Amino acid sequence: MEDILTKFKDYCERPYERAAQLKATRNIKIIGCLPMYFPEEIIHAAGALPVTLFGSDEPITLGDGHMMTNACDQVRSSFDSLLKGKYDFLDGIAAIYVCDQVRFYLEVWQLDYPVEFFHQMWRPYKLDKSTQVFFRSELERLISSLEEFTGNKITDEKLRASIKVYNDSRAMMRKLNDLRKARPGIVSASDMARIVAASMFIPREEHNELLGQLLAQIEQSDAAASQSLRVITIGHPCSMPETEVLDLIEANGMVVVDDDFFTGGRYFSKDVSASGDPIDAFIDFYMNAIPCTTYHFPENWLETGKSFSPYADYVIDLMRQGQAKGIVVLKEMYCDPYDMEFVLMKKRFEEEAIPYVSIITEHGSGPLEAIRTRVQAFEESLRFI
Amino acid sequence: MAESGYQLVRRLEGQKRLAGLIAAHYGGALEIEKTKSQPIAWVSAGTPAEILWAMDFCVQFPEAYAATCGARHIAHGHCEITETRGYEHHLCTYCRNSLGASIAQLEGMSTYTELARPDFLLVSNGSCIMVTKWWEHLSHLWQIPLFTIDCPLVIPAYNEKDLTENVKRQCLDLITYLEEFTGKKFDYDRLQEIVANGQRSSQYYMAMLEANKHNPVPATFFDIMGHNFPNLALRYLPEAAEHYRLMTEELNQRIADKIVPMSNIQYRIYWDGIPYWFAIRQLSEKLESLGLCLVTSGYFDMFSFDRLDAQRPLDSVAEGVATMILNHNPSYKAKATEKIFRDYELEGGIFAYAQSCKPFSITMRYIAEHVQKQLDVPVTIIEGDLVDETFYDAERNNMKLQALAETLAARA
Repeated sequence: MEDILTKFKDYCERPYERAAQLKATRNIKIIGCLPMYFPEEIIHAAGALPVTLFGSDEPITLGDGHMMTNACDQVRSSFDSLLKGKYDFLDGIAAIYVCDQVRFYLEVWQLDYPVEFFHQMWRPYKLDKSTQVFFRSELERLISSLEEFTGNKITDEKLRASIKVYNDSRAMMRKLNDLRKARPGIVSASDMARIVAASMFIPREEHNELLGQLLAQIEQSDAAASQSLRVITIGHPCSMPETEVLDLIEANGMVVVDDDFFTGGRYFSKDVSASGDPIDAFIDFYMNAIPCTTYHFPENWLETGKSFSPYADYVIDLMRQGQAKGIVVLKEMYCDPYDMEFVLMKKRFEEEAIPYVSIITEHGSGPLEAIRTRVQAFEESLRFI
Repeated sequence: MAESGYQLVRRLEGQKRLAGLIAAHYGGALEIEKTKSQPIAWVSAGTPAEILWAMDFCVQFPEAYAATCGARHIAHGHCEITETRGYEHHLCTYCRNSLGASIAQLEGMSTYTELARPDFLLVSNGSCIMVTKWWEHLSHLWQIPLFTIDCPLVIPAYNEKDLTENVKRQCLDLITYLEEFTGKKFDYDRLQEIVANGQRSSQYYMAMLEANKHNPVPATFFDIMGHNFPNLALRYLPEAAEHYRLMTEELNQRIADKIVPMSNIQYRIYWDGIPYWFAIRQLSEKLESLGLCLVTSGYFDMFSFDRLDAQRPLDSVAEGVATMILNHNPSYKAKATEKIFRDYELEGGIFAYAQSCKPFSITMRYIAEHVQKQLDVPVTIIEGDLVDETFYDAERNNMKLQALAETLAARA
């Protein structure tokens, strides 16, 4: 089990090594996807490898010369990585506009550092029937752009086969998550984040193979459940949370039983249907997505009295299903959608008397001691509930 | 550079008329609130307000109100209220002002409440996604319905017709919703009349702006920018077009009479971004002392409404919403800025970075560098924010402006 976990850790420490190797040996096209929500299955069906582009912990030395500093660390750091040549192995870059930063800035990547394939995609912010027509044309445009770029026809059969590979992956991740809910501590929060993140760097089939082996070993393991206080972690919308912070939470009397991270539950909670028309399946997936701070659900705002934070409802439900005692919110600096949602979320938590602590983190910011104090104080407060 | 023989007259005659229009707009809305004679809507810039006017709504613009609060130095107090409620300091200061003012209004903390209480909210994410979050919070605070228009970013891969159709479908949904909300049938003839008024107003608005192509200018950017308000909030009325017709006349007369708006006009300068509303006087004085004359700005594009066409009312409204300037990719904005520099024969640029405003600021450096490279003109980026004075460092910005003036002088 430790061997497999070490492999996942290695993938996260050198996230693009495997992709670069595949490009060199098998001449596979590699497409970098900016978080979040890009339909990787479609890239997979085109015979290319999608890899998710996270920033790095390195100080930003080149990126800030091209963009202003009110962007979040994920955007600035990944652009910095691009300028430093860390993404030189890429044949293309693709992203969905999840926020104003990606939306208004993305094209500068292509202007400053052109790649062969550059695809900007609109996923409606407002999820209703009126915006579906345009979204359908966006999915069709992605398919034809990829066909042109790779020279491979993306048939419905190929799409369904790719969707199945990704559904298998998500199903195994869900199973792993269920195991940690049933036996807290069986997989640590930082390992969980690394396992999910690794799936975004290496071919999904390879990841599925490894994850299958890990699940088999965990199921056979007789490790006892942790008796620490059960919590869930949420936040860090589109980057990978610092594993040091997750370790710190679990080293201080708490155990994480579920999460809402992009490198976590948010990534695997829902499948794309592998039957019927694949475009319809993707539309259904996005239009009926799990609540996110980057979605607008019209019915919640047109009818007064409806929930004012479907996202808060969602995480409260996660907490209750996981029989957790509280919520640790990890916030990324300069993430406007999350910071706005947090105000409403906080109100819902207070209405429901849900214990929570919110911690602002930023890659490379380092002051773990201050975070430790807050985490310890939160754990102490939970003990009396 | 201005020639001798010019007379300095700072104040525009149209200023008084503008003040009257603004007072009537806000005062009238408060009267409507009292009498409940019309439903009141709060809308964001870049929404199809024409549909609401055609449904006889009284329409208010919280972004314009935020600018007013900034100019009156009361925005900071509103922003502070939001910070006590958990809003982060870096969030859009127009948003924080608006939410703070709403909280004050709802909780009876302030007597300064110019915006009439809303019954309905309309927002578009063409300007930014942040504004939709802001309007969601308004909906929650006021417990009233919110309708959202979703606008994909305009990129070369898209056909403008598809973008317009996407917004038009949502406009038709809005009409259906409002028919139920008001119990009234939508009147397409009334929409055509309103669009015709807006079209005339926008044509005169553009004519007013173009007067500044003259050298020396009859008015500075800071003199004219307040006149954006009628085309934003009153273009459905014939009075807006009349205001701009008279403004154009006045500016052209000033050109004929050799009247200039400031002393020491030496260089024709571009302003990029939303003005720092609380610092206009200080900046005006500094710029005048340095001989930097603000001629025009890409900011005006936000208020041009140049797509309005009475021959195709709903389509032209949808087209304008889908293609608003802020909703374009950076290369389009850079080229549009370059064109302004050429059209107005500008010699330098001031790019006003706003810490809390991503759509205006995040690509600012790219656009500034583009203009600098393409036209070989000096530019500087100053730093501050829309209405929150805590982000503003006057001394630092003065040094940057001084450096710009020195660079221009060295090139002369």
